[in-house]
Amino acid sequence: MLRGKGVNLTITLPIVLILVMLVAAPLFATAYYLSILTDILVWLALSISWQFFSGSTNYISLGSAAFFGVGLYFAAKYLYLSVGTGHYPILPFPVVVLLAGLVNFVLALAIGVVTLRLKGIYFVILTFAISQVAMNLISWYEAAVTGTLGTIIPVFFNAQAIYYTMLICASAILLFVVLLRRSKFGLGLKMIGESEEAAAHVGVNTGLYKILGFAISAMLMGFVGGCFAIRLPYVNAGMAFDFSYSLYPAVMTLLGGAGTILGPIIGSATITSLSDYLSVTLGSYFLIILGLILIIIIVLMPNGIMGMVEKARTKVWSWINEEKAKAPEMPP
Amino acid sequence: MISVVIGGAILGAIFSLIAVGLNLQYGVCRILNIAIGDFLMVGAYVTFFFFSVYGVNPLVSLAISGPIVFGLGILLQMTVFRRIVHLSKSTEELETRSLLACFALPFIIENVIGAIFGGTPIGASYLNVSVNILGGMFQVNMIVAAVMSVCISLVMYLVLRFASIGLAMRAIAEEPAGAQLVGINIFKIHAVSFGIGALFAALAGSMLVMIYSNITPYIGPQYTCIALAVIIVGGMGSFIGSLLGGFFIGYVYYISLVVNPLITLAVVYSFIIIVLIIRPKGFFGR
Repeated sequence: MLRGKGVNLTITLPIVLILVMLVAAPLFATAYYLSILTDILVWLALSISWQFFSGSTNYISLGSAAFFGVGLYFAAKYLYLSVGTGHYPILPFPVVVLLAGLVNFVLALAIGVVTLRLKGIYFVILTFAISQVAMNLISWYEAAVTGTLGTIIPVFFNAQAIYYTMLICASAILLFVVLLRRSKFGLGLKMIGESEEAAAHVGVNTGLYKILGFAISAMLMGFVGGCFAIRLPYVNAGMAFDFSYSLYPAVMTLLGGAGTILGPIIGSATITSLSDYLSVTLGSYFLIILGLILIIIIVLMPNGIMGMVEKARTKVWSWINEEKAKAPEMPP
Repeated sequence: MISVVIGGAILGAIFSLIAVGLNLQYGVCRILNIAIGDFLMVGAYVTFFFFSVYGVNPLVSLAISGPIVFGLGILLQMTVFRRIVHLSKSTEELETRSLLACFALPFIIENVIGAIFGGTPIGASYLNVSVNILGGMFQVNMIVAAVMSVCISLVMYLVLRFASIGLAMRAIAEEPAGAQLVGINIFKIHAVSFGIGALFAALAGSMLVMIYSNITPYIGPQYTCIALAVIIVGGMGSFIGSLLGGFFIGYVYYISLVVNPLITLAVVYSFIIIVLIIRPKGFFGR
């Protein structure tokens, strides 16, 4: 393969092409396709954030909704400050998004310290319970204390601005994760996923790595949630902490292939466009089909699409090598 | 006071029936069936169907809804989960993979039932008369449901304890490889255990539909949450744990329902978190 120092054309060229296409998309896409593209970017950013921790360490988290929701609520509450004044609040929006991520980072650090002793199914249930408690507590707080359900989000951005915000958010997260994966930290996380004991033996500080990884993943989800706030006219706890924000990133990543960076990208693009297409053609029945598809993915494709591609590639390569071996040697 | 004592016990009896089923599925098959509440809902709808169309007594239709959902559970185990067992390299992988599959099941079950029966709340009100017990007023159907739940749980306990199939289930739960070596048909027992778990949920659902009249296709997750809390508190894989844990969560649920209906789910989920942090194996887990 063309792997080595310098610019690798087989990888850089498609990335640049896709990026140019995405940047230019609002020029020729209709409003409908632009909104689907925005959707894909949201799910892509969430899946990559999820993959960064859960995909590489195999600690399956179903608490993404908690962090996404906190980010979304944070940004929504901030934008709500402008109601009555009529103009945008002081802090620029990117700063708000960064703050939303930071809040999540601290939150996840605290959660991680107490929870990451748990493994396997216990960790899954715990993260699931945390997102549910967050939702129920906020609902209860709003109903009992403030007396208002949810927050109205004033509109400051048009569809194109929202699309570009999501594009920047998703590509920044992607870049960050790609860079971090190659670092000592990223490799340590991957090693924990392969075998936690072995990782501890060769000197990976597994406790610290896990907590930091969890917190960084939560921070990225907070960014996505913060950016998503400008897309909604209104948000309440049930919407912000919806279980699909926990389940879909996991399923999309698993569909694409959990250990790879291309996996979440392929998975989120496939499932988002598929569920959009199905919801248009089938109406409310589409959830049945979606559920069936999810089960088929889990049952038939344990390593996702990337796993199948990898399998096919090794098959082709071994076939080519066999053909080469069969071929008679050229006479000198 | 007396209403809390008896009211909590009634809820607890029904909760422990669901949890015993869930625990059996997890203990034997290593499948944490997050869709258990939807099996419950299917049981409720089968009973409702026979009640409203043929006028079948809800207590009699336990004999119909039970076997139907039992068959459904076995079918599901044989088609979906058996393949996942084959694919998984370790128990941990099996657990997380089957858990994800279970998260996808409610999409299908809820929307199929919703497509057939619609989303309007249903009920098959039966024995809806109040009776005075020690100064508190209770509905007869609740008491009947609680007594039956306890009886079914006890029968299951006796089966696990004395019947040969119960012995096989315990053997698989303790030592799957060893159980296979001594000639237990592990796949048969897996299917039966999964079916029984679904069966118990369906029975609970059939009894709930004669008490409450607000059953919709989307009540499942609520009961899943409760059953999950019960087996976490009691200890995963522990029969006595889920029986006693059921009553414990029953009281917690009843009290928080009296205090403020809005916080019930938050309280139940908080119990899951607290127990997982303090004692992940639960209070009766090994």
